[in-house]
Amino acid sequence: MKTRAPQLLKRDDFRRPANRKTIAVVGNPNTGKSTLFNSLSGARQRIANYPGVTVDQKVGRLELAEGFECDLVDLPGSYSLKAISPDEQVAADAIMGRIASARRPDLLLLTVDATNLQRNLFLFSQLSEVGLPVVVALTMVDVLADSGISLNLEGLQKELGVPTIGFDARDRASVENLRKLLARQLQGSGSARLPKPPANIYPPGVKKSVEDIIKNTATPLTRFEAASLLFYQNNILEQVLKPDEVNAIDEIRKKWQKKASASYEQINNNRYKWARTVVSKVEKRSGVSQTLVNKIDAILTHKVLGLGIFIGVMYLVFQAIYTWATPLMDGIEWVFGYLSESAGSALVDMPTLASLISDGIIGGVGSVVVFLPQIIILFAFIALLEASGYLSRASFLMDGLLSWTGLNGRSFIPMLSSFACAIPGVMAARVMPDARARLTTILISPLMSCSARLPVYLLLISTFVEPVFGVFWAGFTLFAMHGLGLVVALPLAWLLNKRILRTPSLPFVLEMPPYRLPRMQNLWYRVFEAARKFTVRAGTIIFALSIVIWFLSYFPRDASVEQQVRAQNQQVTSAVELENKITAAYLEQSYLGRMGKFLQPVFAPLGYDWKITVGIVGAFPAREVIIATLGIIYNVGSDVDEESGALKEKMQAATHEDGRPVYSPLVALSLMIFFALCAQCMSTIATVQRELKSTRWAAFLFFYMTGLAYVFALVFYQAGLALGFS
Amino acid sequence: MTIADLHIGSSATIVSVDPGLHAMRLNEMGLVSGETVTVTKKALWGDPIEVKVMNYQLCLRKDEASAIKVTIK
Repeated sequence: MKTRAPQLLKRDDFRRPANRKTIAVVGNPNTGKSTLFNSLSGARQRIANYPGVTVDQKVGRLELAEGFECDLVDLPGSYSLKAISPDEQVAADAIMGRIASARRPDLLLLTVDATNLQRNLFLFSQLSEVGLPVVVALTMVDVLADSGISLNLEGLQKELGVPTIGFDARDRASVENLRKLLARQLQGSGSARLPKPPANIYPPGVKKSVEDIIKNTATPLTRFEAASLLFYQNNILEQVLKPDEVNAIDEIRKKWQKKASASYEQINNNRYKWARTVVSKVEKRSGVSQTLVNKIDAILTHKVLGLGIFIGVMYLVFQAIYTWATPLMDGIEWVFGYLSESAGSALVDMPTLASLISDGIIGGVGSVVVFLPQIIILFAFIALLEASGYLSRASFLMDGLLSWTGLNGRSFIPMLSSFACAIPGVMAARVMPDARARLTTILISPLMSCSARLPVYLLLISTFVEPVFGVFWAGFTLFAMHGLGLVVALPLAWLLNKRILRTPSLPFVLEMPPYRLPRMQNLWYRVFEAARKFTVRAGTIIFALSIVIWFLSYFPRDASVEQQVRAQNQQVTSAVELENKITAAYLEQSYLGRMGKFLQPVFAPLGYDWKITVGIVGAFPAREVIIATLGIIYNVGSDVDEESGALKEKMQAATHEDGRPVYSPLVALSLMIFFALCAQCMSTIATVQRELKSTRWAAFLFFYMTGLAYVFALVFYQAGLALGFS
Repeated sequence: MTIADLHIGSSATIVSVDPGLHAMRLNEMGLVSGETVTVTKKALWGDPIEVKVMNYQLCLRKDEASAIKVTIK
């Protein structure tokens, strides 16, 4: 007989022993669900994904008592178990235990907004039919008095038949009480109480059919599922049921549809009837009018003034992103520059390795990490605006301007964010409940002119537009370039929504939550998570692609190229100039240079020579790279920026072999249009791929933007030529 | 008469919700027959509309609002 050796427990915090229990936090949106989740699990949380489901899942660890831990899952907020958004579907499926990769929760912790009892109880009445114990946490209890509401908690607990407790995250004792209550419910077998479903929800005949369905299926169905099957088909359930069971249920459904004496609407009405009765027993409202809040709200949502304020708020956000992020970005750039230089000088004997590490890896990864401050600031603002309730008002105001395209007010924030950087913009589209509307928003957001396009515009405008047309038209061009993306995006959204994706017109039924003071802990977790994800996952893709681009611009590297340049330029005395010529010669015969020459015929109708083509090809990973690439090509060293006078002069002096100048205002504008619309940012493509979990749509984004850029630049250039410009 | 016909500040009782694409969600959000709704705001061009129902604020598009029949008390 073997004696069992004592086993060391693996310190993998989130590997779950078979006997560990799971509590799912459920509730309506805006009921303080995240606050409750964060204050129960603290920092012991992570984002998990259900395989095949495109919704992130927050999982935390909760110590209920000494040595007694359980998993806490934060399910997406939902108004009903009859889901309409992918978020709500995940919540419903998780509650019913219909997600193959996840175990069914052992207990549901329902957050109920104490100031909005009647509507919140609707979800409770559905949850009472799923056969799981429920604990109700009443949130917003701290504002009850201010709202003129008095609530009889004991009475409510009696009506609901499940443990009901007030919860205030700011009050430690209240968090402790909830923890103890949950421990009591989960410890010992069978002590947790199942809620008693409210009576009179189902008309007698319906009730009979529901019970028949439950009786006649091999897989146990909850009462809610059976009742839902009575009126609606359900693909997920039909997979767990036997075919003959599905047929039998179809027959019963047809019978009910013919009768028209009972409808799902009637059941919903009955749920609310019950909720109304409960509320009338336990709640007393005295008409406290919140005059100050109402007055502020009236201004913020005023049809004209509100729009002005919204634009002002957004202007401030962008101002903050630009000004606050700049020192941090400079700092990051300095660090990466220093690292790059140190690596270069440490590896001076191994030029290939030095170039790989300093130009390729450090340069490539650094060009991504430099966006981190913008991401953090923008996400902090979005979290702040959302948690305070202002974002819902902004969506209310903006809806009218976007509705014709099939987008709704919720698309506005991702689009606005994309003017700073498409990456946080695309990530911000998570607030959108409908998958297709979110898809459209993600696909058009990268068209907004981001801050990385700015240096390209500035270089070309100051070199070719301002000297010819003056400062006014220079400023106008800059403005027009920023407007171009938006002007193209709206009809495109219309096309995608109404013609291609056929996005169903979704109800824009948006709750306007009361204004609230955001909680720092919630903001911090959101910002931290966004920053972490951006750095880790987009960073790994950038890392790999940086090496590829470096490789293409560095190889082949035949020493004869250098010897040839030295031989041809013996009269050149300046070491720097010679070095620049060598760099340019290497670039010209590198794979990237050959690609440029090979692809030049494609770009010739747009007015570009092979050098611009190289710049474009090299700029696909990150559009601002074109400045460094042009600098290398025009022998001014790769260390140039948009203020570089040497680069400007060389570009102005550049000629074709027949002596015609390469650049004209027409070519410069054509190039700017190309950059305004083209998908030249691998971080964005990678982020889109990650957010949509679809390589196909990421590829679509790349090809449609690049195609659009090509067509617009082509038409513009050819029209310009036809009108006699050159 | 529907919610879309109501002026800002006026209240009415819901009679029925037209069965349609969004009837279910309107229903589930508390727009059920017998409830009182008050129109609290309208955006530019009268769309969307903000209403108060069951003591909370809800924003609807005109299309949805015109699917909800009401009667003024």
